[in-house]
Amino acid sequence: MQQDMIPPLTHVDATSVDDAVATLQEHGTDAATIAGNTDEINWMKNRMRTPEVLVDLKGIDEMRGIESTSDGGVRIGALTTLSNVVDSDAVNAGFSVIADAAGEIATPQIRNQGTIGGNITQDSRCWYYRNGFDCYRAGGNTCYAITGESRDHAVTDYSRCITAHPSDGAVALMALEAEVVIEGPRGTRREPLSDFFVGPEENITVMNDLAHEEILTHIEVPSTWSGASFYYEKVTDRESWDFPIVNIAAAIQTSGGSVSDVRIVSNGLAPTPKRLRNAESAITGQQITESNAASAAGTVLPNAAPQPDNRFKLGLAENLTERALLGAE
Amino acid sequence: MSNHDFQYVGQDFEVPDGRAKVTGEAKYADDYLFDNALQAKTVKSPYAHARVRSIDTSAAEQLSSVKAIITHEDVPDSPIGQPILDGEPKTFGYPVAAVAADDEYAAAAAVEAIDVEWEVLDHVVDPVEALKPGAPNPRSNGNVPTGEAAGESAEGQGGGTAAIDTVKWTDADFSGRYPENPGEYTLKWSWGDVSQGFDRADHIVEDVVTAQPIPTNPMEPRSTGAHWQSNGKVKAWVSSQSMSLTHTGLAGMLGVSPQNLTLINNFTGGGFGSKGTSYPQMGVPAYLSKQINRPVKIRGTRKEEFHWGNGRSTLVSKIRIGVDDDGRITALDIESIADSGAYSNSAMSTLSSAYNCILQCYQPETARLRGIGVFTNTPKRWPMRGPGQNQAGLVISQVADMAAEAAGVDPLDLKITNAAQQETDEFDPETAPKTGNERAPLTSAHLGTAYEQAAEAVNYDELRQRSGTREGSKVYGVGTASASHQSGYIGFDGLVAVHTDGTVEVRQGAGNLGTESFAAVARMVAETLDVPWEQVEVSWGRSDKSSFTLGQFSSNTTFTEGLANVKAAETAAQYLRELAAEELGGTAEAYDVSGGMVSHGESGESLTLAEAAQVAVDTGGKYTAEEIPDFYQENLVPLTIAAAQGVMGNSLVAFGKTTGEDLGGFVTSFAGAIAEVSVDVETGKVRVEEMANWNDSGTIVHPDSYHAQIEGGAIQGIGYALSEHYLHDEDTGIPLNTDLYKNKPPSIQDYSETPLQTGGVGEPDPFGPHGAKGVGEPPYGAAAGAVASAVRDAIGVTFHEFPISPSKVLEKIDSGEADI
Repeated sequence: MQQDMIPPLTHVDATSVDDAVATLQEHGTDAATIAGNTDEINWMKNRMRTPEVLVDLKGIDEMRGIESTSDGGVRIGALTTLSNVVDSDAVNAGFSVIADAAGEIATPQIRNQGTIGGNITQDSRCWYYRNGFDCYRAGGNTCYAITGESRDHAVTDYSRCITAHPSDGAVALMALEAEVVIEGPRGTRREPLSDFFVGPEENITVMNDLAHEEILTHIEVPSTWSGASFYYEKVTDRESWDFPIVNIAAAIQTSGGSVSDVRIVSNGLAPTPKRLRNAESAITGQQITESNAASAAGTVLPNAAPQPDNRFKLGLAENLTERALLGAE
Repeated sequence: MSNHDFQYVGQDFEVPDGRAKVTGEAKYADDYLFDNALQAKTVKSPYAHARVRSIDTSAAEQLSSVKAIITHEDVPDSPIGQPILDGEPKTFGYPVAAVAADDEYAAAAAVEAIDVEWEVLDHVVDPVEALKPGAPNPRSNGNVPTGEAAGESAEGQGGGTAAIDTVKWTDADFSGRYPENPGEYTLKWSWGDVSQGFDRADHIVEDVVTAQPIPTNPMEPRSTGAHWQSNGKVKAWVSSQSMSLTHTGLAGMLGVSPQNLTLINNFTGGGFGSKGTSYPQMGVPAYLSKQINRPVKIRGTRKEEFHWGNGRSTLVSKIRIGVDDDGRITALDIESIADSGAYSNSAMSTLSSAYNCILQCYQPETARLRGIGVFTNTPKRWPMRGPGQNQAGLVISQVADMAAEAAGVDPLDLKITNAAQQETDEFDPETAPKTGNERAPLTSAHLGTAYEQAAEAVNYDELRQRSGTREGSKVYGVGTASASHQSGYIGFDGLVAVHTDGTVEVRQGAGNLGTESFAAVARMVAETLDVPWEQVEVSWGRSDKSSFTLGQFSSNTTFTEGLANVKAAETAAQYLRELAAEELGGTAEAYDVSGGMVSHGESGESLTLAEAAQVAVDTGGKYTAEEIPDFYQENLVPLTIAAAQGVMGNSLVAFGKTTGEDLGGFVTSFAGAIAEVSVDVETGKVRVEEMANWNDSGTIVHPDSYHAQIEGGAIQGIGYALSEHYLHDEDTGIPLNTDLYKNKPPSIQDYSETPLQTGGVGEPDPFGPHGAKGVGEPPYGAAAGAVASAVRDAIGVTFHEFPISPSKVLEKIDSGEADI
């Protein structure tokens, strides 16, 4: 407890994705991966995770960088730092909401070190889970937050575990219908980001469907939303490093003055990034006026079941939805 | 302002430790490397309250890398404070055993090889809960410290009496914000007839406000290197904000005479009160080193700061104010519950300091103040920057605004009307504003002026006009608040040496916390001796070169240590005149000390300081401390005389000692702050749009440091009001937000976005060295209170709990309580 010392381990610099996958296969659950290593290091220093082999992905050049694709989309290597995402011309040209979200993550130092892949694959920020409580997510059989301090926890779509997804990058990417590219022992697979995230009902100990011996290598953003109107906002307790109480990303396409297509995704509400489908469908086909926006934002979380200390998130989600619809540009 | 008479006081200068800090040359406790050193780690309790049944160290002893193991049975017990290791750990994370091994990896492995059998005990983390009948006691021998509060000068840094009892409020109704029909209080102050005061009042308001606990969060976690040598002498490299008190405190903790302990502490990365004296992280490596006589280091970790460090006390206050139609406070009645955590009696000091602050800032005509401190199974509540005073600044500002509203006067006018403001230029103990149950006169008080100058800086009338107006989703509000702190003490020592090369050395004894007030002490000596600044050296960082003084806390170094050393400088000047008269003829009184010379006023004959110091060496006796005058022999602390050892006989040596004759009242510094906030009623986000934080600190000695203190204090205070807190899970007693990113103190991005104006009244204090008082603490409480007051002004609802996070704002709006 609180040793602040990583137990002895073998550090392996992976030279390629195949090499990393092979090493993970070889060592099984004794191995863990790091990239920016802004988070895993804390789990290890606290000795809550004690991998014997640490596979360092940082040296894999093929997983780094941002390029525009031939069809007008953008392909982001998972190892690309958040700072590089913020500064990327390709991102800012048609998909600035990603840069807006990435620019509000953590601190300048962490954005220089942390990667976009790490941001979307990050683990729960539940303070019980992270403090070593034997909760559902940690393999136990209770949720301490439900009876304890749950202000920052989910208000909807949870099952036993009420953790809320903390990622800023995920909501922007999901609003743009991004896909993830994953390499594993059986080759390459890809899936929409919306399928990548896993809620507790499906598997309570993970946040996404990345298998142990798989590597998230790229994020691909299709051209679909290029140049659309975007909105990003993150509500936090303080200006310095803070995870969202609730954040929101919106992409809106209009045709003839009316909304032709819209995607609104929010974190801090559910164990996975939450699409606010009610609001999306309510505003589609409508002009964005104050009254239409207010009406569309009326019931964004129809199945919400908040705790007493996070009920405020319901109104906050509605307010942010309205702001997103009215403020997108 | 009377600073214009000074040559050095009031001018900026390069601080003596600045270059080392910015180049990285500065060594903090963990930076020291030792030959043959071992590394220590501790075995900690995983429970909020437990008892050690047994500790099996046999497996760890088998490890070849392990060189020493100690348990709670090997170290002295502590009746109420933190024992070095505790057999009944009363908080999560408190250590019960420690190891020293070849390196930190081995030490961590050894800790995991030690097996502890625990008896888990009941815990309580909420201070109000601790008073409920049937609630468990946080300590096996009670729930309430009942000893006398330590004086404000000690601020719980020691002093006080260790007494523990069980007090339950058996007849109280705990269903409201504050228990109705409360039971016994352990601190009771009153004067005047408060019921008559309420009878005279035209309006009476009442509310309950709770100031939340927070950890101190110094940037440097507490690390220590210790070498207990085989000859019984101990050397320790520590992180402290006090040389003298830490030195004597650690000597006591180790059971060695102070003469056998040398403390090295050149640089400290902050303490905010939590490193005022010795602490267990110093004792662990020392006792391990005692076993093997090799240097042992313990590296303090950030996590440990949250569990094994200290925090600000919770203060739950039920405040009732009576005012007349002019806004004059005719009666003030406050009941409070304060939290000591598990390992101190400082809740008593929290209460007395909080009440002093409120009395100083609001000068009520009658008052009744009652309070009780309780223990909880949470980390030690120990002084944190305005401990009690800044909670007070936060809890009372909104209730004072309610009183202003009831009386129909502007809140700022009410606060100025009641503020401590002396009526005469000279100190007059009869008419001076008063404080405390003893009604001590304040040596100087200009809070009203501070408020007025702050109001001018931010154009208060304009902010008042904008108050309540809405721009999009943002509503504006303006708030006002003050805080104060006792900031000057007597009974301490100074030591000034004039070397034969003409250098003036100030062997002052404050720590080097980072506030630079130790350098201001030397600056004041330069002023007194009128010696070129380039010729002045200030020594710091070693106990064997430090005169005895109070710690670098309680906003007091500038006054306390300044006065003792200015007195030493006055003695040095007198010696120089006597020596010049002896050497050049005439009377001592005919000579002036100025410009680094000792010159005859008429003939112009002179000695340089170097020449005069050589005459001192040639003359000996009292001039070189080879003979110490009776007054100093009787009154100086032996450590001060020991600190002169290196210069006795080879330099002019002058001592200073402050006594009761040097002080005629209660030295108090004030801050008055005005803040404008915007509240986004859709997101709950509060932004401080502007703040002016103006202080009454006497003469300003070093403007750069002065303004830095106000800026830092104000930003920290804003964080206290808006984002920072310490959260324990009630069921398990385990603290949850033990990382900086979860605990949320304000950081650089919060700081840079706040337009902040700082300033000072600058009126000299009649007893302060060159008229100086202190500055460190009041800006914090004034800022916190002003922000709370401004948020209330914006959305028309009183916040009973802090921080005012977006969630708390939205809850007030959702419930319909807010007026938007």
